[in-house]
Amino acid sequence: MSKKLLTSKLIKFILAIAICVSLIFFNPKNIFNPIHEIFLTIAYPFQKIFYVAGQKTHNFFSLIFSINDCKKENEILIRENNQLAGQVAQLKDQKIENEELRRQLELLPRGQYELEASLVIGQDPRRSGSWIIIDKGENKGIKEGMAVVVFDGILVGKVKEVYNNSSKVVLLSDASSSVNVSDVETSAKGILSGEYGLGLMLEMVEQTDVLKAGDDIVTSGLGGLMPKGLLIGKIENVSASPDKLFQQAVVKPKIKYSNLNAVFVIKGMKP
Amino acid sequence: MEQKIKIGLVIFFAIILQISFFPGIAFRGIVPDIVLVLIILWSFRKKFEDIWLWAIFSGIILDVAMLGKIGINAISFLILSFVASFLQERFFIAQRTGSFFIALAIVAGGTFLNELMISVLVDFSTKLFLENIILKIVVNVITAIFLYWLITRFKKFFGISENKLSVG
Repeated sequence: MSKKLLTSKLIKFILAIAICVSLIFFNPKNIFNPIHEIFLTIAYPFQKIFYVAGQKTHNFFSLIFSINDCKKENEILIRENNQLAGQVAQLKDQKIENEELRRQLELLPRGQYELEASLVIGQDPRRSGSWIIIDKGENKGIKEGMAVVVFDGILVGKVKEVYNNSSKVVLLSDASSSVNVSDVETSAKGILSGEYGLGLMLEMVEQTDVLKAGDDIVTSGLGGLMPKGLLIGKIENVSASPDKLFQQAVVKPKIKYSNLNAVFVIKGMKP
Repeated sequence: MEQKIKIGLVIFFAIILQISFFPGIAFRGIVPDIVLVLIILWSFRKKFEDIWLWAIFSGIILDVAMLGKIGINAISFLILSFVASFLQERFFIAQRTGSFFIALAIVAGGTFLNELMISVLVDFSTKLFLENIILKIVVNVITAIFLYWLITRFKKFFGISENKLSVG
């Protein structure tokens, strides 16, 4: 009896495994889109509420944990404030210089983009910095490959899958992400790839190009729907690629991808 | 039928919590695998025959919610449910004490296996980040402590009989 039961149990188990394996390896792209659509439509209000609640909880605990440090921080801030007052005059000059550089580098001002504001309603629970789900989709004109930025025009990723009311955005730090970029200071060009949600790596930079730690990295505008001049981050350190044919560099993102609340999808240029 | 709907709702909200709530408050980006822990603990309390369809169902719904390939979490949950149920039936059935710690040990092992299986199925790699795995195990064990208490408290809701509970 026990042997019989074990056999039936094993048969069920093996059959179920076989079905799952065939689902994984033989499912044609987009065949399950209607299921995704149904789920996202049902789950959307809950996802939105829970995501906002999660962010609020995070802010609350951040505040609680920061109270102890407030006194010390206050003293530091007073000292820093005095120093900063002295730097204001210098910064005014630098502001003018910065605007001039921006014009020269053809960094596109935000006013020229047609943006679609979206709320983040989900994230990869397995590996933060891999992908997010936003609450805008096909019905708002979102298309695959569109660039996704945060409020101050910093690139965070690309739209990978589009559904009726929501979209999946692959963040720059995901292993499958790759974007054509250039070094603002030296114009060196390369490909920026994700490092399993842990960081960014600039690769395929020719040995004759110059890369320096501290240089800003922006999109080069080559390929797809990615506009030119979107800021990504700064170079942290430079090294030779394992095959010594190219240079590579670790890039520190300008923002933390795990704490995104709202993003903007660049739908195109304003006429 | 009513109980099935209730359990379906528990799984649905566990998935929503995992995808939308915990990523916001995650420590160092580590999100608890609530659904995985729930399935392991539940398998620990029930026979495989009673749980396997729920394991596949919750895995598929999690795959749908993550907008990923369907079947990845389902296969992982199914294997872990089988292992948890098998261990419980074969080796720990006589142990009336210490079942709580055994359950936690299975959750810890299950977390590692789950990470390994998903890494192989998603990234086609066995590369695991040790620090992340350790943190994930710690987070999942803490989650398991809470869920174990919840399942014990609401055993009728989860369809666990008194007899089965005393064995586990």
